[in-house]
Amino acid sequence: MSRLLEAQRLFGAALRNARHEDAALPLLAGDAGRNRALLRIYRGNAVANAGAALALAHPVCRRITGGDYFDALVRRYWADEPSREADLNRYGDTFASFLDNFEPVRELPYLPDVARLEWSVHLAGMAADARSAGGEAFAGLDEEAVAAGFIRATPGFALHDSRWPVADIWNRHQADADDVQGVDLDQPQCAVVWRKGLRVCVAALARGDHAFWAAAQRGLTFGEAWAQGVSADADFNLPAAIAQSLTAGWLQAFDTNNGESR
Amino acid sequence: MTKTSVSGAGIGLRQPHYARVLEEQPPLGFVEVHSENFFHDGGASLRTLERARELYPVSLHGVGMALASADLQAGPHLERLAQLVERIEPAFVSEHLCWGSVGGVHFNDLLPFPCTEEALALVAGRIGVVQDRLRRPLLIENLSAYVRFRDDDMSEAEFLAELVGMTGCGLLLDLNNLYVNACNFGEDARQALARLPMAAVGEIHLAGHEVTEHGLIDTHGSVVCDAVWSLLRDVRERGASAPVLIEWDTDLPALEVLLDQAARADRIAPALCGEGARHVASA
Repeated sequence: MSRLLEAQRLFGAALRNARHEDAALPLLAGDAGRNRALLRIYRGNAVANAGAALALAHPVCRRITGGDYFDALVRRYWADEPSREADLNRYGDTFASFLDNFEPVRELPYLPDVARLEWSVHLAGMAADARSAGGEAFAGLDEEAVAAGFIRATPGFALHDSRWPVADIWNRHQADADDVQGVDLDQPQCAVVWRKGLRVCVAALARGDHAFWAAAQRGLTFGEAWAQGVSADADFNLPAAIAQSLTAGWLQAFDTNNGESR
Repeated sequence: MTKTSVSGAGIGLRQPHYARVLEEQPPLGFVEVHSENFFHDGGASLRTLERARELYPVSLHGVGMALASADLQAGPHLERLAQLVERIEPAFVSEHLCWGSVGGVHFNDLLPFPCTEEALALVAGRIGVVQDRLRRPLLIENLSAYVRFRDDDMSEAEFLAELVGMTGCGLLLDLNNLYVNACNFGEDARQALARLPMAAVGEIHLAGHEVTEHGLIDTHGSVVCDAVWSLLRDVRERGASAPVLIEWDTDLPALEVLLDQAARADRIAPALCGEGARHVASA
């Protein structure tokens, strides 16, 4: 192994865990006691940088838990799942699943799903700019052609299906409100995240609409997605669902089954 | 119409100041951002940078390339930077002389390494790859480090001078980093300056630091200290005409404070430098 790689392995191990400091100290010139303190500064920086990135991507989770508790969560998460990316904007994709299995947050059972929603919001904020399609995407197509085609969502569009009212919780924690009072927590909810221009929006979604879009996202045809919507909710109203999609700007294009993108 | 030539000092453009800078368009030589914060496909941040680019030359300052990481796997990082460079057409592209990851774990920090011949060969090779991809020279920034290594074969200044000779890269000379290291390790900042090829300096960073029980920490959270202003006069006398950037990342003050620091940097430049030195630096 190269001496440089060996030095970085030892230095890196000391940053990951104080137990490995002793092995790294012989690398360093000068007083060992002082170098130990300096390694701690580096370790603190690494955790703080990761924490700042997680806080930026999960502002609602941080408001729910409070800053100190969130910082403690960050330390545990960083210890279990350190960054694998040079770009910290991409750190935190497994934070929600970490919370799923983290016993101490059981008192906030909705927290993992809120984290999942926030990650979608984070990604949507960085997604490509796109112009949404209007009703003209379907113009001139007969019923059969529409049924056989595919709807494509705008970049950043993401669906969530939670046993908690995640869209309500998220929206309650935006500028005007700062708590979950007034939210009926014992209520499952489907949610949709999307980009409207440069703004990221979150809204609750009816179960049938969720099933319809989820099927489309899985690559099923418009007709199959319609059937999924009806199957999930007997009251699923296709024209209303399409109208909502067009108004909100979820539709990027309609792709016919002969390869035409409209 | 975008501005391409840099004349005068700039500031690090940070989110709390986006709106005012875009609206009031203060007279700045250029603005600088951290490249990775714009590695996006679209969205509000990128749109802001594009608008800033219409008003000012932009310097893209990378914190993630980790050129000295010994086992870094080739990843999408360079491609993302290349896309951003194509999109923004920056005046400068810079990276730090540091490592940042080992065994697939990224510390997302600017970490020091032993300045050895082995490291020199590695970093020079990496810079070559980056410059080939970007089709432009990279500016490499000297690091503020809190530790020194027993394996060091040369000083950081010597290491940087070698890199310039081997790769044709430029230097981003951070005078606060130089000062912090000099204080922490009992080194002479002016001796380090004497070893650096001033003609290769493409940009100069000034920032504040914090004095702690463990030494000086490069926090970018206060005004530039007198000793660092004095170093700026020194590099001007040595012929470096590169524009100055005021870096401020923690406890961000009002925009006026940054503009004031930038104006102070501009007052040092012309008095002691002038066209003659500019000519020397670009020769």
